Amino acid sequence: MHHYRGFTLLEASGAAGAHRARLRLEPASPLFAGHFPGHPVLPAIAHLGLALGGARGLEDRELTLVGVRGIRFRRLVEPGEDIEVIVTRGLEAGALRFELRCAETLASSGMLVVRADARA
Amino acid sequence: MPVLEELPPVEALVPHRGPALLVDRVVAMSEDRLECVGRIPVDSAFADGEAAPCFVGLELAAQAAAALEALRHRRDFPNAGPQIGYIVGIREGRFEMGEIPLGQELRAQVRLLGGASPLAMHEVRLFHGEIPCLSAQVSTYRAGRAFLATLKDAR
Repeated sequence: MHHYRGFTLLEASGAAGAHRARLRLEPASPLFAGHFPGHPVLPAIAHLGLALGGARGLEDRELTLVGVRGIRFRRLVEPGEDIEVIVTRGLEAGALRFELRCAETLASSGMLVVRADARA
Repeated sequence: MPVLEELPPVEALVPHRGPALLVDRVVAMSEDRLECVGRIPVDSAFADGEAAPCFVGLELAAQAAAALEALRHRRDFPNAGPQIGYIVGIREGRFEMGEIPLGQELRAQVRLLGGASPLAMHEVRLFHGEIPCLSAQVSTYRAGRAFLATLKDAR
């Protein structure tokens, strides 16, 4: 199942309550269109989309993002970079912790609050 | 909040362009608040059929916060052009809708909570008609071109 729209999935694995995936952010991705002219960077909401993709991979079902907590964006992500997505279960039901890493550096992290999608 | 009749176009306030530009216009502003209207365009990279996930509305709300910061900055530097405002944190966000319809008018309200320029924290709210879409506290960093060049050189 491919949970990551707009990215090329290079590898994915899941074990012991954790989901890991490595993706490539293609330079021609529409995510960069107009964001920003002359200095394309991945929009912050795309980080959340990637994290939600990892959450869906972890739970192996469709999920809706209903909240976020303590999100930190620490590094700009540029076209052509590879991203590692790591999602683990939090202590509360429906709470999932994520990290996005680029070149061994933390790009963003925080907590997702999700609910199972009724359409799933 | 006073309604503003003469404001620069939104392109003079935020650097987003094409499908990444979600704010249409600022409709009201006070010292620490701003209201604007916008939409998630039908050609958005985040479109999923005829809607986009609700969290995509955060981008519109953040652009509204960037517009407020830009207008405040222009009081001291009247000729300042748009500057890139990066979201550096979301303290807490609630998404009330599963998805937001594309192309329909949305209303964003932002209130400055605090910060020291170029860092700022805003409370943001987004509505579709009278229906709340989301609320969040968003921290942004307003970066000039020189800062961006520094980041690239540091890699």
